[in-house]
Amino acid sequence: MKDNARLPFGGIRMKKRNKVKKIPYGWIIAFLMPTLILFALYTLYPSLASVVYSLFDWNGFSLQGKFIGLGNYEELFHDDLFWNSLKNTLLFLLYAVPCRFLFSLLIALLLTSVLCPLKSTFRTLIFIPVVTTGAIIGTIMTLIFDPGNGPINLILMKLGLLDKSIFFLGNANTALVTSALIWVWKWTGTSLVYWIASIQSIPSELYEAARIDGANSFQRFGSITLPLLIPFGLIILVLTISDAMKVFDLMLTLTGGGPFYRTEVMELFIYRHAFSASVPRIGYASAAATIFGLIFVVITLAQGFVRKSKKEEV
Amino acid sequence: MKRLVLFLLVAFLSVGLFAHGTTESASPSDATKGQKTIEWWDQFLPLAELHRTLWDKAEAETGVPVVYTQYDAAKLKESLMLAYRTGSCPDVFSQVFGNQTKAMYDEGWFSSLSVTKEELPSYIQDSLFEGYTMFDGKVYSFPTMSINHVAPLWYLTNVVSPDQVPHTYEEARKVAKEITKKSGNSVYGFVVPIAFTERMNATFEDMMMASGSPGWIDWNTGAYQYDSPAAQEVFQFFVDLWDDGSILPASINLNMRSARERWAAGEAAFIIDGSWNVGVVKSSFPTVLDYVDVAEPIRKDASSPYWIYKTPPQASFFISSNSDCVKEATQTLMKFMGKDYYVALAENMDQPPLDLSAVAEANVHPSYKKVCDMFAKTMLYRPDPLLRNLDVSKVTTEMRDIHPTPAEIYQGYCSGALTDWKAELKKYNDSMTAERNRAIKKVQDQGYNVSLNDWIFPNFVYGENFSSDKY
Amino acid sequence: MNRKSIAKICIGVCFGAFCLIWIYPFLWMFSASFKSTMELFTSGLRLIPKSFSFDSYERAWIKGGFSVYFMNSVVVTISTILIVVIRCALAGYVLAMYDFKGKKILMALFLATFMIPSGTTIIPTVELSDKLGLLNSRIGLILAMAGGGNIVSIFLYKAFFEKTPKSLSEAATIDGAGFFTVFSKIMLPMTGPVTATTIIMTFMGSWNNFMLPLVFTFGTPQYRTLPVGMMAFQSVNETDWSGMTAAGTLTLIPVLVVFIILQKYFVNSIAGAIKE
Repeated sequence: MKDNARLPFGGIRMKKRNKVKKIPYGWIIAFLMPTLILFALYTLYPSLASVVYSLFDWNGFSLQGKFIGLGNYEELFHDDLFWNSLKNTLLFLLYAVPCRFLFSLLIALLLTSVLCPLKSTFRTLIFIPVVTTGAIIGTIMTLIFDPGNGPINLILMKLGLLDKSIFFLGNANTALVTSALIWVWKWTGTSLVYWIASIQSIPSELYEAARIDGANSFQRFGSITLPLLIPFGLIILVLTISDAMKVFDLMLTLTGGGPFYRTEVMELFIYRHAFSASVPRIGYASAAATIFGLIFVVITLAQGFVRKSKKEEV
Repeated sequence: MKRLVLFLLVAFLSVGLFAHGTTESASPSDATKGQKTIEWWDQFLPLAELHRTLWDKAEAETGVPVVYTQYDAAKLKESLMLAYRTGSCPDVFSQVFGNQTKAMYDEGWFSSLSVTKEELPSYIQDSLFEGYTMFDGKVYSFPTMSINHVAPLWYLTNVVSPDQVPHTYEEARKVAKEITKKSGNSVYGFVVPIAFTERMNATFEDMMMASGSPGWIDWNTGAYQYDSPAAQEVFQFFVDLWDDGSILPASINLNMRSARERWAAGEAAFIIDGSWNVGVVKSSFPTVLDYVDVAEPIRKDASSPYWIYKTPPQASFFISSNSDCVKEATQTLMKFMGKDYYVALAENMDQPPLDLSAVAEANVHPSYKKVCDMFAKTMLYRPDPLLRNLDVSKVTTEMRDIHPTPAEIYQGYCSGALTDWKAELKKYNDSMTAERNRAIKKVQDQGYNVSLNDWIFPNFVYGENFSSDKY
Repeated sequence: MNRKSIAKICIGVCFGAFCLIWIYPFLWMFSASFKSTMELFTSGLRLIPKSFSFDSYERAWIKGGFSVYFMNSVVVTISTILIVVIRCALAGYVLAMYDFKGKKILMALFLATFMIPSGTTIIPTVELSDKLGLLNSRIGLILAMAGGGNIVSIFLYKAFFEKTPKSLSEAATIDGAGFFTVFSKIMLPMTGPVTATTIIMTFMGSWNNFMLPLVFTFGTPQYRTLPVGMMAFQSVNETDWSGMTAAGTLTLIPVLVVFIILQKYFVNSIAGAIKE
């Protein structure tokens, strides 16, 4: 039992009287080391390297590229399809994020309420699309949304909402929304898991205490559940936005970026130029990746800034 | 918690070990560390069995086994690019980068074969071209397959009667409408792989050529033909089919595989596809094999003879520059020629073998014989600027893809994203012309001797074979 | 209590129906693994196969190289999970407990890189691994998988530790426990839900990862994992649908099993620890 002041790595424990906690830098660095090393190697370095690549005119066959400074960026600026993919990505975020966020929250609340039977069975079932193979989903969704005899069209027409069948995945105007909804379907299970973990971490004593105080379920929800979920909610929101921005495999299988580039989102644009063009252009693709990244980094940091200043006001 | 994690670990490990114990001889773990092997990557899964017999034969001579990995074409591109950067390309890989062979050679991707041109059989020597398969006098590969096109018209005889088979655009449009209406939209006239834009562009060009046009480039002037009358006619044909409702609506999202699946399942009467169609039917949809038949490409006027042009055949397989067993790889590759090989290849009913006469001797479905016959009788070589001036490859590498291509324009039209396809075709033509000029200028500035004249071949005549002596 | 059970039954039935529709594509995939390719497209969306054949599973096992790949997937995934859970818990803990110099910068950095698209980053990753001699090895693959991303897990641990009442750690400190003891004996054991979540997410990400295992085993195909093996089912001209769906089902089962088992640990394990 350590009874005296010296801690390993040079920290000094203050006496209990002094409320200021001394920061044990030694331990902190030790704890952060694995993350920092791996992060530097596998996340930071590749991102920075990408930025460097963007300054080169570089086709995929050569080992080296030619330095052209901001030439790629200039070309991107004039590239209609670049702006198109930016627009598609933002639209996709708009459609998909609120849906997945709220829907998974709803289901999570349902699955943690006392009135729900067979909780773990339902949890597992909702999770199943998450682990279903992407390529297979592409095929089956084409069948489901088939304008000829796909169930979606049949049901919508029977309900009178449609008078002529639409090929939701192949129509230029509906393809993006449809893909967004399919994406929500596939990944709700993941958000659900996070929400449930968050809800479960609220101590039940709080609910007990509130009930004793006479609060009904709505009041308990509003004053206990919601506020305590907010920190988790923010993380889940950030996660959902990031997931939505990086959508790739699913979109590739569902529409390949079509029809007519209406569903080509950021990652598809990058991939097309980096790997599947007749002459792959890594520099150009990296430039696109950098700009996309910058835009979202700026948005995120701005958002964090706003939150911080709000916190300071309070 | 700890107990549970432990239990999970044990469960997984035991399943894993059990699984490991059921190792079949086909598993890749045979290729163990230390022993030399030939790594082989390609996308030709249907031919893997045939290739395996050849590899085993080669192994008997060289003592080096072949370890095969099948790749999806798109993934193969990506993987090769990544492998190249770290010197881990497979010993042998298939050329998935289209006509970029010369550019890749310049960057040092390949090893030459360990045999010289003279050591190869004469019919192989005749198929070698500097810029395709030979560089600086050394042989790097050789073609295994003959030229072919993707415009044959396939149909099922239990859906289409012989008098219904169309030959011209008009007939096709009429028959397609009839079939769709009569079946109450349960069987459509056509299924078209609209999402497979590479193939659609090739289909457009093949059908243009069948209607008398020289293709995307007019070789006498060098000018692009994307908005020529011939191109517009083909486009109009497909547009009419779509507007008539004769095309399976899901086609917008279908690639060739899924389009073929629908056709074989009876959802459409006609499909336009290459010679391998019947091969795929045989392996995936054997119950309809007896009903498969094929007709000549639909064209503008069926009364006059037609020709479809392709550049001389290119090679499928190359040896990488980081291979450590070039000699053994060459010996293995050498098994991919000869009458026996060509007959066996024909029997797979994939792309036709280099020697088309082998098809007659092969035990194949009659429609495959029909198609190969078509190729033999109606296909000719067209000029390739690259073969006259190797520096043209620098221009093709410099040229950036222009979008939307005709196939993408078609997809845009069908999906409702645009209506004026004629204007889009013209825009594409102008953009391509401008892009080629820009690329030529840039390459000239780098000191190479290229110009627009490289694309002009005044002695090209539609109907004549542009053989190597004409260059 | 009658009203409650009626409500339960109603909710159960409605939700059950909803779930069946929800997992329809999976049911389709499962039934497809028993059909022939021909039947697959003629039967459209019908679930009951006309002809029942287990061929596809045999094919999936052999063609997909399951015997070898399964073991590889297991080894790689378990190792990745171990590394990820440990490093994220450690990082999340110090980020939550202390406001040290550089914390803001670090958080900003994490957040920033979180948003960067991953399109071309595979290239530098491969090159770096090559320089470090890590290519074509399982260790290299594991490090790459454990090293990328996982920012979310760090943030989750951070949020969790932040919400844990300080009274716990203070009580332990008063009793004389050192930094590490507080962490390992008091805080860590309580992270049930978050750890279970992290395990599942990492399991899934690692088990289904295609590109990294592919790239790290160019020259050593014996180390490949299951998703890479699935490539064998889709060739240039045709797709072996029944084989692929069989392989898809086989690949899916382990993840589901892990999920089902770990679900129990979502239960709040703090309850009862604090008696104040």
